[in-house]
Amino acid sequence: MLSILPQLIASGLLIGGVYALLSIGLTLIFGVLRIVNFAQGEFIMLAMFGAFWANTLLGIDPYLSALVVVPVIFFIGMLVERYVIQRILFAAHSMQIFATFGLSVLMQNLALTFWGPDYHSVTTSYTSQSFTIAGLSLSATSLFAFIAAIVMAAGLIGFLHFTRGGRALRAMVQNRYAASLMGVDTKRLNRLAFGCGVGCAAICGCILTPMYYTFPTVGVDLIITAFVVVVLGGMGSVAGAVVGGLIIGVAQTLTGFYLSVEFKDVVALLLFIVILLVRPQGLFGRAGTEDIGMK
Amino acid sequence: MNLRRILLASMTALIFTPLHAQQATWKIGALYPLTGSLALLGTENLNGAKIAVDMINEQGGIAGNKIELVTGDASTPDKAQSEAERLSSLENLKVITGTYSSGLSFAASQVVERRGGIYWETGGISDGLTKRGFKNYFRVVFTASQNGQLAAGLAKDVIAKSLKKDVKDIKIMVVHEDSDYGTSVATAAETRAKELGFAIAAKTAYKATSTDLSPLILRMKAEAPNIVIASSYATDALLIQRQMKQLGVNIDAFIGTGGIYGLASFAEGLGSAVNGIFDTEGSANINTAALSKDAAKQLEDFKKRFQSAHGKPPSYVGTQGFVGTYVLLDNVLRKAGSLDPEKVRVAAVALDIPDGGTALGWGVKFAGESDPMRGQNIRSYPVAQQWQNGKLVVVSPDKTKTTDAILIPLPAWDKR
Repeated sequence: MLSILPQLIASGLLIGGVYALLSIGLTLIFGVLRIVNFAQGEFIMLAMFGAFWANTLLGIDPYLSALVVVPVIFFIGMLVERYVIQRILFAAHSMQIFATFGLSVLMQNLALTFWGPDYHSVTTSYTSQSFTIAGLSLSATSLFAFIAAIVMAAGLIGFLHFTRGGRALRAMVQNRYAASLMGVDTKRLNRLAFGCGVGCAAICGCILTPMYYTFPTVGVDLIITAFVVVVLGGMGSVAGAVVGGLIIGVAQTLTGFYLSVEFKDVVALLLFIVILLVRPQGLFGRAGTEDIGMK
Repeated sequence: MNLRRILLASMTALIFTPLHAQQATWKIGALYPLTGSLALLGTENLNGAKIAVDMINEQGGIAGNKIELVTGDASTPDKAQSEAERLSSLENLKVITGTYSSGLSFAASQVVERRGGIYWETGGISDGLTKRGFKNYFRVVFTASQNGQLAAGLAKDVIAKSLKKDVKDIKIMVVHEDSDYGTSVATAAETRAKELGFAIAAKTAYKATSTDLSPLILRMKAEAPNIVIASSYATDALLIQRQMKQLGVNIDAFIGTGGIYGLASFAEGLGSAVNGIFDTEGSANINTAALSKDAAKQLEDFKKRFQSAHGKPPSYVGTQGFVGTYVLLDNVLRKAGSLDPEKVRVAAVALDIPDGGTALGWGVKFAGESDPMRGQNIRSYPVAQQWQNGKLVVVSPDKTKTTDAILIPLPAWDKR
C-alpha cells in the first residue's frame, strides 16, 4: 500500500493545481474589492460553454478558444462591475451576498434557457491521455491545468509587485481614500480588477472544458472547494490560493485512498479547521484583511 | 393614457371571451425538476409524459374531456413539497404525476397523500417509496433493488459465462455515488453478487459532485477487480472512465446502473471507448417480440413523435415518462371515468395488464394493501443493455434481447 504513495501525491498535486486555478480569480476579486463573488463558478460555466461551442461549431481547440472567450468574459465582467458590483461596494455584507448570489442564480437560469440542461463534453486527442514519468501516471489535462495555475499565479504576483498598475492596485487596497488623493483612479482599477478576476475564471473554464461535462450548474460543483482554498490560503492572497489548493488536493487524495473515498472531504475540512485555529487569517493572509482599505 | 385603456380593454375582452366551443378539460399535475442540477432528466421524463397526453387527446381525450398537464418545477425536495402543496390546494388537482428523482418523490407525495390525492410515480426507483404503506401512491417503474440485482445477475449469466470462469474466481467491486439512489442500487447489487458466490473486492461510496476521483480509481487499481458495478450521477461517470484510462486500470467488464450510463452524453464524452460498457435500466429498444401488438405500435408511434419533437431518439427516462403517463390516462382514468381520487384508486388497484402490455415490455399490477411494497407495480423490470458501435442494444434477459453481448473481456485501454 505504500508503494502507491508517490502516485497518490502526484495525483493530489495535480488536482490541487485545478483547485488553485479555480481559486485565483476568486481571491483576486476579494483582495481588491472586498467582495465575495458567489457568481465566480457561473463565469467558469460561461467560459466552458464558450469553449464548448467554439469546439462544436468551429472546431477550435478548447485551449485555443481562450483567446476569444477570455476577452469576451473580461468585458462581461467589466459590465457586471459597472452595473452590479459598483453599487454594492460599500453596502452591508448581506447585500453583497444577495447581489452576487442573485447574479449566480440568474446566470445559471439564463444558461438553462438558452442552452438547455444537457451534459456536453469536448473530446480532443488529449482528453484521456496521460504521461508516464518515473513510473507515475500524470493526466495530460490535469497537468495542463496545474501548469496554467502556476503561470497565472506567477503572472499576477509579478503584476502586483513589479508594475506601476500593480502598485496602484496595492496602494488602493491599503487605503482607498489616500490612493485616490494621490491620483489613483479607484473606479477604473476596481473595474479592471473585477474584469481580471472573472477573466481568470474564464481561463480556468477553457482549461477545464476537456475534463468535465459542461452544463448550466457545473459552476456550483466546481467552485465549492475553491471557497475553502481561498480562506485556507488567506483571503486575497494569490500565492495562498496556490499553496492552499495543493494542500487540499494532496490531503483529499491521501485520505481518499487510505481511509475512505467518502471521507476525503471530511479530512480536508478538518485540516482546514485546524489550520484556521492556528492561523485565523489563513496561511498567507493578514489579520483583519476584510476591513483594510474600506474605511 | 389612451394606450393603457386600449390594452386594458383588450385584456378584459380576452379573459371573458371563450376561445371557441371548448371541450371540457381534465387537469393533471406533473411535478418534475425542470431547473437545477436534475433538470436534464426531469425535463426528459416530462417530455415523454407530454407525448402520452398528446396521443390520448388526439384519440378524443377521456370521456369527452381533453387532458391538460399542469406542471410544477420540483427542483429540490423543498420545492417539490411547496409545488405539491400548490398543485393540490391552489390548483385543486386530485391526480398528480412525477417525479423522476426519488428524493423529490418522497417530499411531494407526502403532501399529496395527506391531502387525499393520487400520486402516480413514473420515475423514482428508491425502494422506500412504496414501503410507506401509502393508500394513494402508485409506482409504475421497477425498484432500485431490482436494478442492482439485475447488474449482479448479468455478471453471472452473461459475463462469467463469456469469461469461462467460476464465479468464486471473479472479483466484483461496487462503486456508487452516496445519495439514496446510488446507495440502494449498490447495496442490492452487492448483496445479490454475494448470494451468487462472487468475491466482493470492495463497495465504495463517493460524492457525485467530486471534481476528482483518483483516490477511488487508485483503490480500484490496488483491488484489481474483474468486474466493476457503478451507480453514478453525471460528471462522476465521465471521471471514472477517463481516470481509469489515465491511471491504466484495465478490467474485464464495467456495468453502469442506469442514469447517465444510458445517455448519449455519456457516449459522446468517451468516443469509441464507450463500446462494451453495460447499462442496466429499462429500454425503449427491447425486442418487439416481447411486446403485445398494441404496445409495439405504441412504442413505434412514441419514438417517432419524440424524434420529431426533440430531434433525438428518446432515452429510457423519456420512455418511462411516456409509459407511466399513458397507463394512467388510458387504463386508469378511462376506467375510473372521473378524477375523483377514490374512483381512480379503485381503478388502479384493479388494473391487470399482462407482461408485454406496455411499450417497455412490462405488465402492470400493483401490490395490494397487505403487501410490504403497497402500490409497487410487480410486473415492471429492468433489462441489461450494452454500448455497441456507439449505440445501446439490449443483451439480456433472453426474451427481451436483440443481440448478444460482445467485448468480454474489455480490451485494454490502448485498444479501445
